[in-house]
Amino acid sequence: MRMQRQLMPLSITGSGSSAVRFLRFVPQVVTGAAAREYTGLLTCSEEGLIHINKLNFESLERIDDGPDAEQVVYAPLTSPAEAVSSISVASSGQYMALGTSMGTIGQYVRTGGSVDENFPDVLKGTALFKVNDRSPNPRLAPHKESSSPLRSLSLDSDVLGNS
Amino acid sequence: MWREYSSFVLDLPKVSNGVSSHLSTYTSCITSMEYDKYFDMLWISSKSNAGSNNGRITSYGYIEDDSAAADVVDHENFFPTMYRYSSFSTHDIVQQLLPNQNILVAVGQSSIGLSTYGGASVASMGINSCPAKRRTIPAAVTEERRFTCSDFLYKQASSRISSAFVADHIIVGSSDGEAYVFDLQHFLSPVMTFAVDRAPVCIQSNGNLVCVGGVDGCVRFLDGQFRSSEVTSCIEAHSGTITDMCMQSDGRTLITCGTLRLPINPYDKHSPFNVSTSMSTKSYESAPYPCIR
Repeated sequence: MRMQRQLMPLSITGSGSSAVRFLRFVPQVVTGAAAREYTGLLTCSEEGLIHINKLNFESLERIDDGPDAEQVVYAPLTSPAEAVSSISVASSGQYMALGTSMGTIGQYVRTGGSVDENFPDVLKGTALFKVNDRSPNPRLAPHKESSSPLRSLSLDSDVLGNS
Repeated sequence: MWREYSSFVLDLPKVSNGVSSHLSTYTSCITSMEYDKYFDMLWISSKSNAGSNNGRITSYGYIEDDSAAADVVDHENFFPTMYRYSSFSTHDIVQQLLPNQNILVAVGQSSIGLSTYGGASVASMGINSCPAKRRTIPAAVTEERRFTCSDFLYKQASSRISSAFVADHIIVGSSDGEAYVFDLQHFLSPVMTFAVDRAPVCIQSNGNLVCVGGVDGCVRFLDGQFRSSEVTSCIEAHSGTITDMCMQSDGRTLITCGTLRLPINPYDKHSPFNVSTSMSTKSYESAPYPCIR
């Protein structure tokens, strides 16, 4: 259970990565259990270079079969002093957000290539993007309770009705 | 294919003179971001670049208007609308956000705060309430103790991306080489303390084991079932500091990235080291053990 073996190293061009994330990556045709044979790997450097690679789920070897195999995305940095300070990927694998040291937030979305039963293709117009992986419908933010009154009335107040 | 959806500057509340903070002379730094696994929300923590010790947590929700979506022809360019759900200040600079179904765990440098999604404080725990390290501390580690990283502990394996489970424990690393486990239901004191030699930088857990990446480049494996407080095994993954780790959704594969720290003269034991900014990525796979695929 505790034995770990090192896999083949991954060669990723560009500057060094300071953040790494796995992506839920469902291919265009295969669905169900076989769809999990693919995964995505996201590496992000502080300079704003984001590499997204399509990998084999088991061996983590790179797969070169189409435009989704590798993609480079650039963060919205405005000055050389600005750096990517944090990054997050939604559990559905359709959203990605990053924040910079100057307060800029960039948000990215993956279009197409998803035909899982939980994620109908957005291009078909049957559903839009989702943050969570298991929710068939978007879960809106929880209801916010109104704030408590600043002044409370005593029980014998005339404002209250008498019964 | 990934494409940019939106790019905006964090909308901070108005200051006393009526000018937004981000329009003034100083800006804010995004310290942590996290997508909510239970609701379609994005959590953001920030700190002021002016040197304040306070932080701020802001959350954004997504509105999907079905009636508007039905009328849209170009679905590829139709995205849900974002709105600010809540925004509240914290007494500490938050470095990690962990939403846990209506309870938000904000891990700061000196405290851990539990709050509702609206910002009402539920509980908090300062680092001084955690037992200090009893062993001899290296001379270099004389700085003030602080929390460094954290992760939820789930009961079931293979639940890293699932929104069906709610975490009941949290493990938090400290700069003096300890990792504390807290019960989120009884948030009073650590229920267990793991003794990791070096300060943890990042923690990942899959329910069965906990992976702790340290400043010395080692990944230490702890028992996620709390049967032992000792380090089960250790991998020397990188020569420099580990910068980030990520575990595959099935909990079997771990990817690390870290810096290179090589001696200038490899034949001299007292040679100074050269820390390279170029980082490397390594992946490890655990031996087969029962897990849900």
